[in-house]
Amino acid sequence: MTHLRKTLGLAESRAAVDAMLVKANDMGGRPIALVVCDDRGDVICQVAQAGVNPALARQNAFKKAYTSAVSRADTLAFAERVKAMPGGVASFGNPNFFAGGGGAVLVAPDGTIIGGIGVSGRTNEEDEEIAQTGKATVAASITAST
Amino acid sequence: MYDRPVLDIDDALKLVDAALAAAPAETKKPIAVAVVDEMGDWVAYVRMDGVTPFAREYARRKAYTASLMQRDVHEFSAARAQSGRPLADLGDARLVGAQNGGVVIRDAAGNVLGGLGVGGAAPEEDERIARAALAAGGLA
Repeated sequence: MTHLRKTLGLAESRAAVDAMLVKANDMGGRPIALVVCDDRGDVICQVAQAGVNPALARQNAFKKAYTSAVSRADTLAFAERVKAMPGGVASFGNPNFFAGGGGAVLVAPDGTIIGGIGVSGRTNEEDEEIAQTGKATVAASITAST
Repeated sequence: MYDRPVLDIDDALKLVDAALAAAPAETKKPIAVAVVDEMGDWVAYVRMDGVTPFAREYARRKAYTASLMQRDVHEFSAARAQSGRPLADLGDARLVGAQNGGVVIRDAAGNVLGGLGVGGAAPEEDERIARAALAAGGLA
C-alpha cells in the first residue's frame, strides 16, 4: 500500500532562498552559500554567491541543511545534544553531521519534519540569523498555501 | 596578479529560473537544473518536485562536464566518439558522456564562466531547455 509522507517542495524552498538572499544583503557581510534540502537530506535548491569559500562554505551549508533535516533539530540544538555525548559529533561516524550555528529544521504544521536549511560563509551567529529567516519564510509559505 | 571573471549569483539564478520556465513547453516531466562555475563548483541548483533520483545527479554532472571541457557536452561526446578514446582515459569520474543537456556558459568576451546542466526530460528536450535558459540569460 502506498504511504503518503509530507515533504518540502520547490515552491517553499525557492521562497526561502530568495528571502535569505535579501536578508543577507540587508545585513551586509561576506558572501554565503545556502542549501535547502528535503526530509532525507536530498538537495532541492542551493546557491553560492560569487567569492564564497569553495570548500568550507559550500560544504558546510550542505552539512548544516542535512544535519538539521535528519537530526530533526536546528544545528545549535543538535550541538547542545552532542556536547553531552562521549566522543561528541564524531561518535556518529557521519562526516556530514555539523554541530554549530546556521542550520534550521523545517517542520510542517502537524509536526512532520519536512526538510532543513543550511547557511555558511559568515560567523555562526550571522549564518544562524539568515537560516532562521529562511525557516520563517517556509512556515509562512506553507500557511499561505493551506 | 590578474582579474578572473566570476559567474554572478543573480545571473546563475536567472539561468535556472529560465530553465524552469522553459521546461513545460518541452516536457511534462519534472527536471533538475544545475549551474557550476569554471572550476566545477556549484553556484545554483534547483530540482522540481518528484524529479527522478538519477536526473538530480545527472544534471550536476552535465554542468560539470560542459564547464571543465569548456564546450557543450554533445560536442565533447562527438569529439570523443571520433577519436575513439574512452571517457575513462581522462581520469575524472565526474565527467559524463551524455549526448545532450549540458552547455558551457561564456561571457561576451568568450571567457568560460561555467556550465549549465539539465536532467529529467528526453535528451533533445534537456538540450532545448538548456539553450533556452542561456538565451534568456543573455549568455547564448
